Amino acid sequence: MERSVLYVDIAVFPIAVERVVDPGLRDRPVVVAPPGSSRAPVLVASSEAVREGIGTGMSVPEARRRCPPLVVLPVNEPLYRRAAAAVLALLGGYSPLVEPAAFGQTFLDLTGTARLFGAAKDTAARVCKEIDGRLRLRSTVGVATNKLVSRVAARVIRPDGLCDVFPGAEALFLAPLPVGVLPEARGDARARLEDLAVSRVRDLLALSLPQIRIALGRHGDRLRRQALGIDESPVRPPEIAPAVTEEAILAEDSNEEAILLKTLQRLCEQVGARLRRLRTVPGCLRVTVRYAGAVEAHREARLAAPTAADLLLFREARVLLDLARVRRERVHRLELRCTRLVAGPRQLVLFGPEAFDGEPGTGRIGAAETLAEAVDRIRARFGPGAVVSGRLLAPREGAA
Amino acid sequence: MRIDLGPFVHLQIRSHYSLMRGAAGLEALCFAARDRGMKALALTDINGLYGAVRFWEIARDAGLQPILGAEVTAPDPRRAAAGERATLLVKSREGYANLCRILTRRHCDPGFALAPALAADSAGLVILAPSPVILETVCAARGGEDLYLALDSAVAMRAGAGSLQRLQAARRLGIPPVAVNDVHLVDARDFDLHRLLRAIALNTTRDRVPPEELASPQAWLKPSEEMARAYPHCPDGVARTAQLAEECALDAPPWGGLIFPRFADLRATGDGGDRPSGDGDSFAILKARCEAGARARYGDLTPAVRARLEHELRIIRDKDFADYFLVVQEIVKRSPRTCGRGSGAASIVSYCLGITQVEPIRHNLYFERILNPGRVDPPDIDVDFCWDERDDIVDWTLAAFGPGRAAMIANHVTFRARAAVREVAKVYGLPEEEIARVTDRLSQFWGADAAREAVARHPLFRGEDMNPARGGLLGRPPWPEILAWAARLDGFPRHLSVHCGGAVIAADGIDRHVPVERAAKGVDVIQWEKDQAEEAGLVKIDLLGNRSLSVIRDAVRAVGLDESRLEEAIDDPRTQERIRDGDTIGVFYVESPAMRQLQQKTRRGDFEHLVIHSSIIRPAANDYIREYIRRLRGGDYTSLHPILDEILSETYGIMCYQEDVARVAIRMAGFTDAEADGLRKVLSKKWAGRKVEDFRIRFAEGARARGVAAEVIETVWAMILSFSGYSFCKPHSASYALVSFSACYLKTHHPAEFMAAVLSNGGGYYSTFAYISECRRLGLEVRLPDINDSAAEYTGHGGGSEKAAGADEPGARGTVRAGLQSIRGIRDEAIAAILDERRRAGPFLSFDDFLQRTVIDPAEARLLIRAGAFDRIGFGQPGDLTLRPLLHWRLDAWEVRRAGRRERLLFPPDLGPLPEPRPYEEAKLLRDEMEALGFLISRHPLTLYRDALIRLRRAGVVPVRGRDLPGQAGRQVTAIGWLITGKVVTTKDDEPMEFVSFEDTTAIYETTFFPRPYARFCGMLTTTRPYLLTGRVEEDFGAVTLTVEGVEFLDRAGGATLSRGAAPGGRGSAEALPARPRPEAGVHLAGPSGMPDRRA
Repeated sequence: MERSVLYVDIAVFPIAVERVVDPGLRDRPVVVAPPGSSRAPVLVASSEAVREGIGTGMSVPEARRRCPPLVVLPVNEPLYRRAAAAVLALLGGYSPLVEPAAFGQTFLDLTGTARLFGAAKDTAARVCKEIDGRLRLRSTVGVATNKLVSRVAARVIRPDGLCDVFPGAEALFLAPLPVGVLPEARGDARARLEDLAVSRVRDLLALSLPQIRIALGRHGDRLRRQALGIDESPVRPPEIAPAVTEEAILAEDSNEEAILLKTLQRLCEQVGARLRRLRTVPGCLRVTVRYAGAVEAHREARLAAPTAADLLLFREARVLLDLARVRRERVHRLELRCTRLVAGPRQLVLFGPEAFDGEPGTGRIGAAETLAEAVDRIRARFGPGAVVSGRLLAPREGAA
Repeated sequence: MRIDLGPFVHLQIRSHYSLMRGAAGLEALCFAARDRGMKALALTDINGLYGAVRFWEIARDAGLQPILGAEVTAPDPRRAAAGERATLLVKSREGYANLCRILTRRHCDPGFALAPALAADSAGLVILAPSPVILETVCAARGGEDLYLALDSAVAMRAGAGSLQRLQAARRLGIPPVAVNDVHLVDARDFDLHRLLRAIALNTTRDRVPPEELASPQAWLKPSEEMARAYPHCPDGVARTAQLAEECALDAPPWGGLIFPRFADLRATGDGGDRPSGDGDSFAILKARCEAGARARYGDLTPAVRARLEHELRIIRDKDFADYFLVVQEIVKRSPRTCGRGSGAASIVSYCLGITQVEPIRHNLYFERILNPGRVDPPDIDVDFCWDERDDIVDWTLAAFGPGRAAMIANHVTFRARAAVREVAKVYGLPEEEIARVTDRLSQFWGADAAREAVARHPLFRGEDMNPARGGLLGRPPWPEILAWAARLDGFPRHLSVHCGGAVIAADGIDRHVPVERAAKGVDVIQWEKDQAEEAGLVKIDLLGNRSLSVIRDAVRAVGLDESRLEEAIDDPRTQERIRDGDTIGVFYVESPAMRQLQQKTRRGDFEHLVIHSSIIRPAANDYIREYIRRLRGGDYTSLHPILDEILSETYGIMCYQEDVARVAIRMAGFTDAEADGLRKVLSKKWAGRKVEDFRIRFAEGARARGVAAEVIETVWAMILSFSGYSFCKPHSASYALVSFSACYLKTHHPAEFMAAVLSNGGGYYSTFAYISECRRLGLEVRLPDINDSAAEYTGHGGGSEKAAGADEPGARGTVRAGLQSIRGIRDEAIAAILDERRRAGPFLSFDDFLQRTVIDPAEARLLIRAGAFDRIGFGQPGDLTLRPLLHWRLDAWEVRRAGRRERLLFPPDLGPLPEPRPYEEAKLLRDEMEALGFLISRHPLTLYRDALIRLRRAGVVPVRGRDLPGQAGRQVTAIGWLITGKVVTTKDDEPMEFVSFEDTTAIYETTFFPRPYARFCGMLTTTRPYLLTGRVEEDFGAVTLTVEGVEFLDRAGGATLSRGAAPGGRGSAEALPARPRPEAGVHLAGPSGMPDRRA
């Protein structure tokens, strides 16, 4: 059966989204750059910025010099994530086979939906209109029989519109395009092709297979297939693993030990409470530190004895936090993530007590869990503030 | 008789010279000690005497008895922390020498162990150690004399038991205790600064510094009473400090007196003929060498020469400097091309010995300026060597005197504004970008105070103002705190580095005068920087690298020029003409825009005037330069004072040379030689504000007493102040002017070879790109690298004017060929292999020939193709755009075949015929060139902007060509410019402005951005994009500048200007662009492979 694959591309997605939030950014040269070092590279540049000679990878100071009225935005991943989720939700209404390739770039497999929605081309137009109407984002949509060609189709008609490549016309469609549209012709391969004066897809097709192999080795075979518009990869929705995650953004970025530990303690209690409510224990713990400069670091560890007790989680998490803090930079956000969740009560020890030399007063793992359950009961009955751990009360001083 | 030193003396004190530990500067310590009623103070920095000379001076200023010492620790930090350390105090000169030696071994001897070192070498030293174990070992080896238990008050209070045990152990050994306080701080409140320093050093945050890395919060400079209170159990320990201090109170510092190298120590110099047998012989050798040298230089000796020589030799003999001159001569002999300079260049002895090249009698250089009977300072001779030979010369010098006799001078690397702010902000955990936003703009401001000023006023900091209410970054916490800490860190030493060329040599071993360390690159370096070394009497010999000497060497070699032609350079009319016109880009010392403009304004190209000009260009002397030009051009002036007329007759009554200051001070205000020299020194230091004021008073009084009118005194003093910062003496300038003339001679007569040498040696004031443009302006053709024609470096041919006549018309002849090294990414070994093969078997006949004859990495071959190195040995017509893709195909095929052979495939792949490639587009050629070389050689990048020019013309804008600007004086014009270089200065009102040099395809021209335009446009100036400048052409004494009023990017000018508030739906700007892709869009002139930006 003939496939119909849509590629929905929202050009310079981060900036497009920022412009929805702040329409004042429209028609102005805008770039997004990580708020990292002074030589932070431009990650995304709006078309207005590109026209000023700014390209991705250029340093921000250089970009500013080229274009003094440039607006530089920091990376705002949560915003992009929200917007991307909205796009996915919208597309999910047409087919369960939705594959997000990157922020703002989505494959949608419409194979077999003709009865439901009509021809793929018409659905594509509707999608386009709906994204514009509901989300105020301009998109380009490519329609073809596979992912490769639909993607190229969307790319060639940027910044908006719809491009439908008829089945069987894939190679014809690609032939006059620059060879760089093929995913395999990026980086090194592209430089090699350029050196050899192979600039369009049809130049590539004019070469015999041995000749392509001279230039690119085995790689050449794949490239040739792409040049012919052949791509059989399926549209594959992402898989989600179950996890319990809590994050905290510090009121003020800080690198003070006491404040970080306090925050970590709170996260452990939140995660612990959720795990116990779900009646699961985690097999793996991960602490992610996001520094003020947007750099992230994380450390994770398998738990020798899976548990959902706050105190024990904290004991593990504290070690991970210490390891993850490879920089002295202020911390902006902390995240605690529990994965490899195991349902049900854990295996009890058959013989003898379990030794535990952790926090005073906890004694054994069993004791720590009993304590956590007791605290849960008190809180359930008298409110969340009825019992508070000491670390959370300490204002600043404490376990430095 | 000794003075009473009070009830308690601090014997263990670390200043900030206990690097990244001590939180107290020497001044703060000494003056606090005085204010707390102390009479003596010991400085015992950790493993060093880094600040000893300075300490002696400051302690004396504060009326304190200085006590010298140091703490020596075990090399293993854990053992040091466990108590394996000892504080050593100097009792005598012998003790000082021993201390220096122990410290030297601590730094240089990998097997250093504390106890044996103390046992062996501690005569004249008092040893205070906290650990009974160390004391016991040392006591067993050398007896208990001068051995004490250091009883730290913090430890005594904190861990009483341990302290008691140590006390008992010492008592058993019969070793008396001494109270110390391990002082790191002046006041208890400085503890935070100490903690900050430790956090910086350990790369951590303040609350993560391990406790064992910190001093006690009690480790401050406690007054005597408080110290006494801390030792209820050991009152004799407190009393003993005064007694020890008295033992260690030296009347004079253990250094002093000049320390010279000894000629007899020189080994392996190859000419043993006149090696001295005893000490008295050095002078005889010097005399003989001078006479021989004089005959070689002068032929027959005139009475004037003879008298001058005898006079100088007499002084040298009286002051015992013969060895010094001989040693310098031996070093200079290592290289055929050197430039001796500094005040020593005034000496006929130096001239006869070949140390200097300027003939002192003809050029009126006076010997008294380097050595006179009233001065104790050592002679000062700096020698420049070719920059690529300098390291060998230094190595030779250090080795030639035998081990332990010679070492390099250190630099004390201190925190300056930028580094201080940066480091503190990192401890505070601020993100890199936020820090960089502040520090990037601090780079031009040195001190932290200046930095704070800058933050408040400079337009680069707009939007970062101190007011948090307006969103200013620096007003928000924690920035105010960070800036305050940074200001306190300003000037704190961080680490040692090696001074670029200063060597000190001592006949009796350098490590008895000052501790020696071993720098990372393996050279020995003393613990003092230049000033302290000089004050301690170590005579330094400066051996510096100079690129221009290499330029001259390479150009002379390429031309095959007879050296004697260079000697005539100063009298060569065409060379003088070029210097007069300021057409001197690439010429040593006279290539900067400021210097070239000065030449254009004065229109003098003779040697004597060039000497004046290279001295008068000083940061603080702008007004005097103007006045000088006015007078030179015939402006009349009234004499200020007859004395000035006499002293300054050569320089139109303007003080110009460093020694003019001394001479005026002596003649006008009755300064002694030593005082005058003091004034000169104070002026050259940045930090001596208070002392300058003392000299002003002294000068005014002296001059008044001699009947000089008050306003004259004021005017003259203002002129003297213009020598603040740096200034040059006449012999120094004369030596340099001679090099300038040699270089300019080469540029005039052999431009191709000269410019090639400039490019090969990494240029000077300008970027490589600017020198390439200069080549074009000289009518030279600049060519891409060529596999058969290129050397490793740039080479030049022809274009010379040995046929003198008709050489003025440009064009036709000279070429500069880029070297293979100019291709980015090619290894030196690959280049060497190519050149070897070419030498061995002749030029490569074809690309295949090349592949067969060299073993080359295909990636490198690819770079060579892209750089155009095979364009001439390819097949087909030159300029055929299918050539390079075909070469790439051949290379790839060759690679596949080679891989097949290597794997010994049974059936090698059948490659079939190679395809017929399509031709390259021009954009691809340019991109390749940019990528391979980093800039364009084949054409000026401005030529890529023809579309923009056409657009401008259509809009009615006709830019003036750079070459035609001189005819436009007084007019409002527009001009096209590619930025070459710029220099930011501040006006009298402390507002920043910039002098910027631009070029178009016809000429390089100077522009001025006054404060307002500067503030507006400074953010958009870059060297990667052309501009359209508007402004007024101004002429000043014949030199033309453009006073800029407006700046636009050339490719955005003429209707497509983008402004901040673009009209709604403003896609108009996009439509105004040409529809087809512009050529410039294809060439990335910046980015990773682009030209280095001058501000980066």
